[in-house]
Amino acid sequence: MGKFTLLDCRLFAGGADLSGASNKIELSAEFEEKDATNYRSGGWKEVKAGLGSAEAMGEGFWEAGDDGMVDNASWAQLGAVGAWSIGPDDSAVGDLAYFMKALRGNYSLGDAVGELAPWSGTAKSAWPLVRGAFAHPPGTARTATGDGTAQQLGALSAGQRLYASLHVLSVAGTSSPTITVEIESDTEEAFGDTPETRLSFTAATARSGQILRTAAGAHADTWYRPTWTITGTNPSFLFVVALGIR
Amino acid sequence: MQFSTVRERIAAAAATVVMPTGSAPLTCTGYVPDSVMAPHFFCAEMDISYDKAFNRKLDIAELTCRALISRADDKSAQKVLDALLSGSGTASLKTAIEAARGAPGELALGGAAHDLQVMRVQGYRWYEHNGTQYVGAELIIKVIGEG
Repeated sequence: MGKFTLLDCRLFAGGADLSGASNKIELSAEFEEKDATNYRSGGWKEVKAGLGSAEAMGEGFWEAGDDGMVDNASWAQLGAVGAWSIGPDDSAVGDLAYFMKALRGNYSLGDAVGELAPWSGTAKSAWPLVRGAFAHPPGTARTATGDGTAQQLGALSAGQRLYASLHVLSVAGTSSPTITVEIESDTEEAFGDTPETRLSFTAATARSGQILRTAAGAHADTWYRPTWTITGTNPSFLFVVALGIR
Repeated sequence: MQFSTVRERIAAAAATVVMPTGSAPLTCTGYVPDSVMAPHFFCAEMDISYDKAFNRKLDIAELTCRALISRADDKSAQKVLDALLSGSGTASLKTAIEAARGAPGELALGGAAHDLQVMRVQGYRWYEHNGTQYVGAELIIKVIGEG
């Protein structure tokens, strides 16, 4: 990806796609610097990483009306910990994704007379910030059980985990339409070896967001994909999945 | 936003004004007319700012509209123009056009835009249009909507 103009950042918070309500999205991560200078530091200050933290900040134009709009979503999420996924340039399969489990810590709105009604809010990390890829795009409606496109993220070393976020953005249908998403891995892109289920999200029947991670531990599989099981009468779901290793 | 629709619906909203007694009805067009039928309100130049939100979800347009009144009688022409430019009253263009914002929570201009605001009046002066002079003014209207 070369240098580019920010025109299509994507921001998914819980079950809301806040991209179109946003005109500024910032993501930051840092580690505390802990002084470890000693007599053998060679005359230079020596620091080590302490606790890590990350923060996502969004702002833009206020809207309200349904659970997918920024005001409804922000009030519902305020004070709660949930899934946040951010794409710097769209959210097609394979596009770069940053995601984390985060506390929706604040929300503000309002400005002077004559201004477009604004909002802003921040979310602070409750899990590490993960850099990965989108594995399911938000604009593709799924009406039947299926598998997603395989993504080659690499094998896990002993201290690493697989992370996945799921944002269910819309649910349609009757007879309790339900979607259950799992993340599988395999050694082959075609998933012809022995696919293994690594993560299983709770069945979703409404707009919602979830984020999961595996226990730390190595495995040799390098390909990953989401799979989904859909039930109900005339069901249709829009959802986003992001995957990453950290 | 489809700007031809936006222009037409702003003109339709402007046409709901009740003109002062003795004045001819207000002709309203969403385009710049070759020939003015004074008193005439029309949508003219437009500045558009794209990509004010991510994912093509917000553009902002500033539309310059003009109200031109026949200057057959200087005092009565300016009284008619004053009524049209007033911030309230049955002849107020601001009131008539902003009525098209709809109820709270509704889209504006019958769904053609998210919202609009008649922001200001400028250039209260004589205008020459197609060789004829009128007294008139410009109204600047901000319109916001999806790209």
